[in-house]
Amino acid sequence: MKRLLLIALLLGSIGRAQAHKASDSFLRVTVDAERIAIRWDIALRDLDFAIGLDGDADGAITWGEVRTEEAAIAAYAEGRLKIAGDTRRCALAADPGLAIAEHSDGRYVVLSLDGLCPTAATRFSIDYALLFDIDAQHRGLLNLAFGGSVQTGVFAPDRRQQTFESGRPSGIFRTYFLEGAWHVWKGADHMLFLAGLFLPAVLRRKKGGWEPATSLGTALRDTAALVTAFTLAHALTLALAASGAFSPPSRVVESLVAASVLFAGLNNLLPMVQRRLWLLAGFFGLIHGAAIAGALLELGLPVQGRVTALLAFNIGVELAQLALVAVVVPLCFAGRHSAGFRNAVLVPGTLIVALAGLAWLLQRALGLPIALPF
Amino acid sequence: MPRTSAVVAALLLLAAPAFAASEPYVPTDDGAVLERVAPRAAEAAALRALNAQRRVLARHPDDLSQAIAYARKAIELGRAEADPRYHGYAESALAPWLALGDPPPTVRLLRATLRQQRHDFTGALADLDALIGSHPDDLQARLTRATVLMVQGRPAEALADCNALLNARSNLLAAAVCVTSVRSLDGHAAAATQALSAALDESPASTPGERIWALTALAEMLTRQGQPAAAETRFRAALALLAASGEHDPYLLTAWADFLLAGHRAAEALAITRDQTRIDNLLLRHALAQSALGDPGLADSLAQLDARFTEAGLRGDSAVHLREEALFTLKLKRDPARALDFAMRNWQSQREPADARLLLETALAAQQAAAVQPVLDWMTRTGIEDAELHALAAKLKAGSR
Repeated sequence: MKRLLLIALLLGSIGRAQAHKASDSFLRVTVDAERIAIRWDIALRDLDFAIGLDGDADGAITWGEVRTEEAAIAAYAEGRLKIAGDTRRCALAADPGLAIAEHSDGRYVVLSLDGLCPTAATRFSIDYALLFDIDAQHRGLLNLAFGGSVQTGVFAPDRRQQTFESGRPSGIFRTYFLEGAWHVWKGADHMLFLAGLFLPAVLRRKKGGWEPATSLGTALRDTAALVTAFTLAHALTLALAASGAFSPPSRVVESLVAASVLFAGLNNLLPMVQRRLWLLAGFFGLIHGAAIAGALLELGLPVQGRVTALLAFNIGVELAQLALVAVVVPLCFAGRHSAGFRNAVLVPGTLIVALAGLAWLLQRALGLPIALPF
Repeated sequence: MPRTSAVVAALLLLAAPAFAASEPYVPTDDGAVLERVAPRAAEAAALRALNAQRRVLARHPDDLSQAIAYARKAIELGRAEADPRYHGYAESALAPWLALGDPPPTVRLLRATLRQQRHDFTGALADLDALIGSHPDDLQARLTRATVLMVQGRPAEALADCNALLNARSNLLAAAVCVTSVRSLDGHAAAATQALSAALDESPASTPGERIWALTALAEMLTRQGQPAAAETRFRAALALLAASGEHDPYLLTAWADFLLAGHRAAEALAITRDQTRIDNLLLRHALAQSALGDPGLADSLAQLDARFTEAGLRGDSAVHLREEALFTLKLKRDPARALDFAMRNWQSQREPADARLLLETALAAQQAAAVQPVLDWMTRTGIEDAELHALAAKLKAGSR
C-alpha cells in the first residue's frame, strides 16, 4: 500500500500538466552608448519563496512588506545578473525605489537598474542566474534594445550566458575590425614574419655584406609589391576558411606559419630567394590567412552581416600589418648605412626571428615542449 | 546626440514585442495586499513547510534522501495546485542526479514524472522502460508507464502494466482505475464502467484522494457513453469528497467545467471557475462560460489568456499548451484554420479522447475533413466508444461526400 502512495499523484498529473503559467522574469535592457537602463520584473511569489517577503506569515504579501525587503530584493537580483560589453564587465546598481506591475499571472516587483560600461560596446554578453538554483523551470525572458534593433532571448539553467551583437552594421564593423587588428598585434609569429619579410626591401644580404636600397622610391615600390601580394593572398584564404569553404588542419597551418618565420629569418642572413620576392610573399600570405581565419572562426560570425564582419576583420588585420610595415621599413631605411644599426639591431633581430621560427616549428610540428618568452 | 538616442530608445521600446504587463506603479498604501503566497490557506502552509525543507537541503545539497523527500513533496504540491513552479523546485533539488545517465531508481522514477509533466513522453518512457526492465515489480513505474501510454493513445500497450498492478493485489482501486481506463477506450466501455463502480464499492478503505480520482475517471467514462445523468452523480460525489477533504483538484474541476459547458450550463461553469483563474485551464473554461453567457468580463479573460500563451511561447513551452491553445483559438478566437494547426500538432503527442474530439471539431469548423484521417484510423484501431466522437466523425464524413 505504502509504495503506491504516489499513485493518484502520477496518474492525475498528466492531463493537468502545466495548467499554470511557469515562473518567468522579464528583463528589459536598453543600451544607450555606454549607459544601460534595465527594467526587471520579478514575480512576488518567486521572491517570496527565494528570500521571504511575507514577514508576518499570514499568506498575504503587502506593499509594506515588499518595501521593507527592498535592500534584500535588490541585493538578490543584482547578484544574479552580470553584463559585459565587449568582454569588459559593466557596473550595475539598483535605483532606489521599487514599483509594481500587473502581469497575466499576478503582480511583479519592478526593479530598475542602471549600468555603466567601460566603453560603448557592440557586443553584449549577459549572464543570468536568477532562481535557477531553486526552480529549474524558471526562465528569464530578455528584451534587449541595442544598436538600432530589438533582440529577444530566453535564459534557462542550461543557457545562462548569451551574447548579443549590435544589429547595426557600423557596430558589427567596429567590433570585427578591432578583433582583426588586435589578433595581429597579439600574434608574435605574424609580427616576426612580417618584420623578417620586409627587411630585404631596404637592405639585402649580399656576398658577406649588406646592400642598402638605392632610393626610398625603390624601397617603397618593393615594399608595396610585397604588401599587395601578401595581402591579397592572405585575404583570399582568410575569406575561404572563414566562410567554411575549406578547413585546413590547424596543426599543419600553424607549423607552416612557423616554417615561414624561420625561412624569412634565414633568407635575410643566407639569401635563398631574392628575385620575385613577391611570389614568396604571396605564398606565405596564403598560409597566414588560413591561420588567422582560425581566430575569426573562434570568434564566430554574426548571423546578420556576415559579409560586413568578414570584411571588417580582414581590414583590421591588414591595417595592423601595414602599421607594422610602416614602422619597420622607414626605420630600416633610415639606418641602412649605419654599421651600428646593422650589427646591434638588424643581425641580432633577424637571428631572433629565425630562432623563434625554428622553435615554433619544433613545438608545433613535433609537439616538443619548448618555452618561448612570447 | 543624447536627446536623439533617448528618442530612439523610446521608439524602440514602443516597437519592441512588448511583454504583456501594466505600466509600473507605486502603491500608496502600505497595507495594500499585492499577492497571496497561495490562493488557499492549505497550500500556503504546505508551501511554508516546503520552503523550510529547502533551506535545510540547501546546507546539504548532496544528501540524496533529503533531496528525494523534498522533490516528492514538491511534485505532490505541483499536482495538487497544477503549478509547474513546484516541478521546477523538484528538478532543481534533484539536478545533480538528474544529469546522470543511470541515476538511482528512485530518482529515475521522479525524472520520468518530471519529463512527463514537461510532455517529454519519449524521455519518460525511456526511463520507465529501463526501470521496469530491471525491476519488473516496481508498481509505481508500471502505473506511470500505463498512464503515459494512455495519454499517447496506446491503450493496448498499457494493458500489460495494468495487469501487473492487478496481479500484485496491493491496491485494488488503483489497479481497477488502470484496467478500466484502458478497457473503456478499446471497445469494452460498459463492462469497464461496471467494474470500476464495483471496485469503488469494494474499497471502502481507500483514501479520499484515490476515490476522487476513481470517481472522476468513472464520470468521464459515463460521459463518453452518453450517460450524463449517471456521470453527474459521480462528479458530484467526487466534488463532495473534495470539499470534505479540504484538498484541491484542478483536474476534477476542469473535467466538471467541461461537462457543464457541454451540457449548456455555462452559468454553473462560470460560478465554479470564478476563483480558479490563476490556473490556465480553468481560466480558459471561465472564458468559455463568459463567452456563452455574453459576460462583459470576457475581454479581460481573453487578454489574460493571450498574454499567457504568448509568454509560454516566448519561454519555448508552446508544445505543452497545444491542446488548450487549440481550444482557445477555435472557440474564443474563432480562427479554425490556426486552431487546426494546433490541434494537429497536439495529436502528434497527446491522443486522449479529448484530443481526438478537439481535432474532429476543429477540422469540421475549418472544413478540412482530410486532416482527421489519423483520428478516424485511431478510432477504428482502438474501437473506442464515444457517442460524441462518432457523431462528429459521421458529420465529417457526410460533409466530405
